[in-house]
Amino acid sequence: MSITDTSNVNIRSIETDRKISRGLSEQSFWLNLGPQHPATHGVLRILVRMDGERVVEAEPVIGYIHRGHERMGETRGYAQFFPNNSRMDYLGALTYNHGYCEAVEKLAGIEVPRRAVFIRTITSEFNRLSSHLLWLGAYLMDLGAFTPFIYIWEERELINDLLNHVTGSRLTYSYNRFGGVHKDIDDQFITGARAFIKRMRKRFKMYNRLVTGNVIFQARAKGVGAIPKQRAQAYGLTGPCLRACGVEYDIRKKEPYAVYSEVDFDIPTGQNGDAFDRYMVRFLEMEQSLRIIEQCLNRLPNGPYINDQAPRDLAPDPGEVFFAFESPRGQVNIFIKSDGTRIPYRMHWKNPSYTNLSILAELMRGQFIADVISIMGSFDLIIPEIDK
Amino acid sequence: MSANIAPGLWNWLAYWLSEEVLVAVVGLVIVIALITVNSIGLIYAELKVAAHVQRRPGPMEVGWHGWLQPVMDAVKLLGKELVTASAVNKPLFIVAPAIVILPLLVTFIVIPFGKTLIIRDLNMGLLLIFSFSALNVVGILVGGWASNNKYSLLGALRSVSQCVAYEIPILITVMSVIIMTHSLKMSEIIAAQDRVWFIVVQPLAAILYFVASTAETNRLPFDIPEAEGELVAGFHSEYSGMRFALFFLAEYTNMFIVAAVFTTLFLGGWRGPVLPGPIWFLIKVYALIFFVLVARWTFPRLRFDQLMTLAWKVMIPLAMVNLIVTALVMKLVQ
Amino acid sequence: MISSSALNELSKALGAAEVHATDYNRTGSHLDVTVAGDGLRAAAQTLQGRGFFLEDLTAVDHRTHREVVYRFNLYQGPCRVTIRAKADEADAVDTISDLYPLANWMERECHEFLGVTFTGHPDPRRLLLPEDSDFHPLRKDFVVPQEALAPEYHQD
Repeated sequence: MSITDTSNVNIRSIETDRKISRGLSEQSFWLNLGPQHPATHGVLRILVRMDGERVVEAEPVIGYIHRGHERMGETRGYAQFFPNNSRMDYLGALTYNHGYCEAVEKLAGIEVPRRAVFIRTITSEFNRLSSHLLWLGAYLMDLGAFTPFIYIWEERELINDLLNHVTGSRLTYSYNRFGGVHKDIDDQFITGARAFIKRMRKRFKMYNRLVTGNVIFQARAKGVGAIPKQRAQAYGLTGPCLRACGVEYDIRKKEPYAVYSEVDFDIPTGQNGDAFDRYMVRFLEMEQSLRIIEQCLNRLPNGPYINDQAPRDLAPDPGEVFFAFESPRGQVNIFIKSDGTRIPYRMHWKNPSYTNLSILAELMRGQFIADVISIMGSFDLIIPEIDK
Repeated sequence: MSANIAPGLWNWLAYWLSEEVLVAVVGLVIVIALITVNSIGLIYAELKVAAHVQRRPGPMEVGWHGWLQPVMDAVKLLGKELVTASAVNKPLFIVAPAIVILPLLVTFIVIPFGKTLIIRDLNMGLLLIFSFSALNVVGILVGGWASNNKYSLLGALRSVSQCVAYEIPILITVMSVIIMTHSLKMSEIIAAQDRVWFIVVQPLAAILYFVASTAETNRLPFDIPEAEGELVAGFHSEYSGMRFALFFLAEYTNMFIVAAVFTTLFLGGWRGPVLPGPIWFLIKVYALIFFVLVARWTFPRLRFDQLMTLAWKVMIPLAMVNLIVTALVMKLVQ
Repeated sequence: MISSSALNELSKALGAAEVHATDYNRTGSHLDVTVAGDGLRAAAQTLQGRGFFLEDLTAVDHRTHREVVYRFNLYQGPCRVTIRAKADEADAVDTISDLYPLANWMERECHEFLGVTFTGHPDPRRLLLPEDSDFHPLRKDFVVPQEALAPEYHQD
């Protein structure tokens, strides 16, 4: 069993198609979108067969950034796995941290103080906000409008400054600990957060005028890549892609964790499932995140920010846990099986970009190549999350 | 013997040193200098306009407020290695940038910078400009084909469809103006605007011409042929160094020519109070180019079929209507 | 909340060979059943008829055998059903990719990482690993070949 033995090759051969069509007039050609491409936002390769400007057949090829996180989960302790969270989804690292902690705390039966739960919710929602902001800029950059991309960085810088003050990192966070969080939030964070909320509400009006109302943007996004509700549900889509089809499914409401059952927020849904609805759902979700943060800040209880009794090096009792949480892209599933030792027996993650990408092959048939770019942008794919 | 050769030699010299030829040669040198300076200035303007639209300062390091940045960019491009991929069609690959820039040099012959500042006031000046600008497309197609690259080919094909589609509204709107001036000669068109500029008389034609020529120059929102998000760099993906610089130069020169023609046709050319003619001409040209630059950073890109729909289903009918109405009005007035 | 009688009825409808006691707050599933290998497709079809969607598909290597774990859920309200199926001696399980389109990719991933064959899968190519790989990294008996490791990690 050698990794260099290629006798078992089962590579799909593009050459075969060419040989079949030699001698006949060739109507379609194969185009490789990626793995290095400005619009795929990561190393994703989409093999499309095109007939002029239209896609006849599409196949995403993934695995270019597969680093073996699940195996890493089986070879190191529970606490040592924290940095892997942020490498899986670098834009929603705090949400992954949060979800991972909740899953392991369920498995090991660790209690979390109230203040820590509120802090986790606040930081997760800030992360959701900054992830959606970056998505907004990147999507519009794919469509050719560079300016919003530059504008969102200012908002992200403010969020990064706040989170940096409290967590110590700007992108790859490892802030949560089993039993709470690593560091308490102080008055500087709270006043900064309140000022940010006030400023952000004004900025939303500007983004609405610049982007949502733009005629060319609406022409590029309305009616593009409409997913029928039945197909979305058959594929098990989650997150804004599903909510744009009209299904009101958000883990924060269906299976609440942290403080989500105690705060007041809406779940925006769309109607047609096209790119514009996905855009609107995410845009409105940003506003709801601000609402959640504001309510959490108002109700923040005093108390400890971490459970000191929780062991640092966990060895949970044998058992299994399945936990689902809502990252900015959709529902993330964590399955951890413990055999009583300090190293998990099996750790499995199912990430929302993986599910969302699986429908792309079917969705892309018959679309223009320019619409393919618009669809991929509106899906908000993070490739390291797909490949783990 | 010398008595026989001398008259022939003298005639030959007299011809080549005559005023017409001297004017042409000097004009050519000035034109090449002009397009270089124009491109450098426009690159700087683009960087600064982009920066201020995006609420950031832009280049500030190189020279006072970054004014040397485009000069340094030009030096960098000159110094880059001319990478030629092994599978390209070498003769076509090398000649494509030349095909793109040389016809534009020819069009400068008839641009009226001032009352007498025009290299050669041809009777068919306008026709010369449009026919040579159209050769731009040939260069793009040749470059895209020769690159042996599916992305470049896609970009080139899109560019050809786009340019062909948008030539038609340009020509029809210009015909409306020519009906009023009865002449293709640039100086006569400007002379016909002595009482009122044509933009007042023909606003629809002006708008159509402006939008269509933005599409001709492959600027956003019509930059599908070189769409960075989709085709990496479209038809000039494979070009590097000076060859890429020539494509770039051609784009900015094309913008200048298009703005110059708009100024001549609709804004009264070099006419204006107080300041000398060429200054007014340049002010008008660069004001128009400023609009084109700002538009790039404001709008997303139109999808290809939306671009074609705009040309064939919206602009051509409007241009035809404009032409018919102009013809009717001219007939009635006479 | 789902009543226990509804869960009982569901487990009977699935033809469960074994029902495991499960606490939703502790483990995350409302119902946890093991079905026999050949009852898997029938169970998946029953769930599809009742409107469930496939949430997760993975396998666990128990050293002596492989066990495939499926999670189904409802969009209308949380009702997580975990179905376990033991792979037979040849590590084979029936495919459900024709019923649930998402299973296409998930079964490919399961196959390449744990070596579980899904009989009837239309496209059993590698998904994440290189196309010509013939090893299964998440197996408990997988040893990283020495030539793949950097010299400083060689276990000599």
